[in-house]
Amino acid sequence: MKYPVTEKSGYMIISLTGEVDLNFSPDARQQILKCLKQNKNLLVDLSQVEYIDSSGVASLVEGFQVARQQKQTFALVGVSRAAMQVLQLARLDKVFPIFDSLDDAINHK
Amino acid sequence: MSYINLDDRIHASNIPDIPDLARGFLQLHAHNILDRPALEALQKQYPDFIARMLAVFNSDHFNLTTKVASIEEAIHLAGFERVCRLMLCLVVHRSFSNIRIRGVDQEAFWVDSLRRAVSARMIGELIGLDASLCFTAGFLQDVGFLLLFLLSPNKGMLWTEFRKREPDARYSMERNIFNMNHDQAMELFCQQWNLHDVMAKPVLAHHRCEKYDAPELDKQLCKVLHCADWMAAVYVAVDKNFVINRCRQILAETFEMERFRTEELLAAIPDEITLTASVLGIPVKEHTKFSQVLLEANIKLSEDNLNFQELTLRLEQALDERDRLAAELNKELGLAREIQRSLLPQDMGAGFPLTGINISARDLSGDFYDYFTLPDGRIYFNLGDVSGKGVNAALLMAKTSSLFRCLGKRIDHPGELLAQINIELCETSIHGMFVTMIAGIYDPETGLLKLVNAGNPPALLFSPHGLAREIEAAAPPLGVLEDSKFPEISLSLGDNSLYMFSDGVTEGYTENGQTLGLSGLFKAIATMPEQMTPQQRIANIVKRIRHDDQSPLRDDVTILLLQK
Repeated sequence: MKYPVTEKSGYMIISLTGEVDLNFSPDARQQILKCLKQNKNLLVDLSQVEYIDSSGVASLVEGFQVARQQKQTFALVGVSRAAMQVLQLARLDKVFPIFDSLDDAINHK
Repeated sequence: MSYINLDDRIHASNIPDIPDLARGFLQLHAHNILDRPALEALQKQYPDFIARMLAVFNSDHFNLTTKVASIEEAIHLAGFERVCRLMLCLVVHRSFSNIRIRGVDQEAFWVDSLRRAVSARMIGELIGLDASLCFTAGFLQDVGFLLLFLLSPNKGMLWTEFRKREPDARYSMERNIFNMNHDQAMELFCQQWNLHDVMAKPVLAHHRCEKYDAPELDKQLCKVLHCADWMAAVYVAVDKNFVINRCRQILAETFEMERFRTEELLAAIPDEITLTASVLGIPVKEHTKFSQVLLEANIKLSEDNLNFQELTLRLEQALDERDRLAAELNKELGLAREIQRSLLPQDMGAGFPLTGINISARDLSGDFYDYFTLPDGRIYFNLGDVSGKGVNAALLMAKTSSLFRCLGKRIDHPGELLAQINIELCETSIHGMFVTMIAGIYDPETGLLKLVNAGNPPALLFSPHGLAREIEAAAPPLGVLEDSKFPEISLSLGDNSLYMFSDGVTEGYTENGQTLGLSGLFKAIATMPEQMTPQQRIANIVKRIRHDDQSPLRDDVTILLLQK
């Protein structure tokens, strides 16, 4: 699956969609890491995510860890209800920076 | 890619002009009048050519009742049509033989044309079509092929490639290379020579017979030419076996020709050529016999058979190899499963406060649980779930449970223990994999319990009256953030039961296809009869999401129950 990537105000925005499970999380991971390799700050839009399993969350965790090492911004944006429940259950909502909208994320600092 | 462009089509200046002799003849033929003075004039103007024609008429081949001394006599005996056709064959051959076309072996081309011509004539005789018409059309049917090379001299090096292909392949290759087929080139030629009234249409259609809408005789001729094309190819194309089979098939389908008859026709081609070529004065260097063709075809066939046998053998070998590797892999997986089982604790039997179960969705599990008693009698326990599934999850599971067992013997505060494991996992984190874990330490003497939940679904504390407390995650999973804090909570177990589980339980499907969910789990636990043993309680929960032993699980399922 190829997830759409856009750019706005110096941020790369990757929009994950549908079911980010064991089948699709490798694609998500690859694209997240590719964006981070370009030394860009990255926002991951989760508004269209219907389901995310632990492998999908692991892709986000890896992105988060890599960004932290490289001192890049990594944040989640517009997290859908389904994704938010998973993050909250695992207390990962306290780990990732999470913003309601792209503008909120971009104007933050 | 360069191809014949429109200018070339219009001027077609490279195409030899129609000789006056032929033009004159065709005009006479068109008016169908025996214009004696005009004939005599032609005879005077082209004495050599006319002598050659008369020699042909007087050969055994034509089998005329008496020898002829003039064209007029020939017309009288053989008919205007036949004379005109013979003239056309000779004139076209002579006109092209006089020019050099780069890359093209004209001698070979005209022998190929003779093969088509004699093949067409033989079929014509068998099906009762005018044999001389068939011969001439067969002789001229592929002149367009010469023209393609004449109009695109830079493609000369492809001549041999073209020649060794069978008719259909050659036809589509023409389109690719010249952007034009030989029948289209032939049409240019017919325009330039004004041949449209003379058998042009069936000739132009011989690759599209099935779509050719014309009077029955023309249709028949078109089919004859199509067959003749394939018969001639038997002697020239590389894949002889294929072409022979195709010939048998086409002739059977088109003219209901029996197989032996087709072979007789094919075998007759060389002798027919030798005879006809000498009559027409066309040089023939190639003398391939049909027996030789069959030999080559058989060699090819046996080579193909050998290749096929080899292919089958290789395929069998590959399948064997696959089975062997699969068996090996299964053996390895079996071993891994065994080792993983050994990482789970023994059932300590009645009286021990902890009971657990771990069922994996695949061969290997990413879930685990463990418990062990410290020297002072307190019991350490944990339940964990590695993100993802399969071998990588199983390896991280092994690492984490080993760290727990090893460090747990020295660190008796579960919060601190998880913090240490977390640092280890963060340092060696790979692919963002993480581990959710509930861990605790329980003192059977006092009933006191210290508990940490790192990213795991809540632990459920049930009193005999129902749900007493949900202990939700107070920290993120292990392996995410190295400086995470893992706060402990303390409580007294008393008569309560503490249910710990991985998300495979709440996300498992119930019999009606819905996920069990937290509320489903609450309900399941709350409605269990009081006298049930811990094992029965766990089995009861599992039964809700696994309806029989064979049904696949959506995710690994792990449950750990703590009660006095």
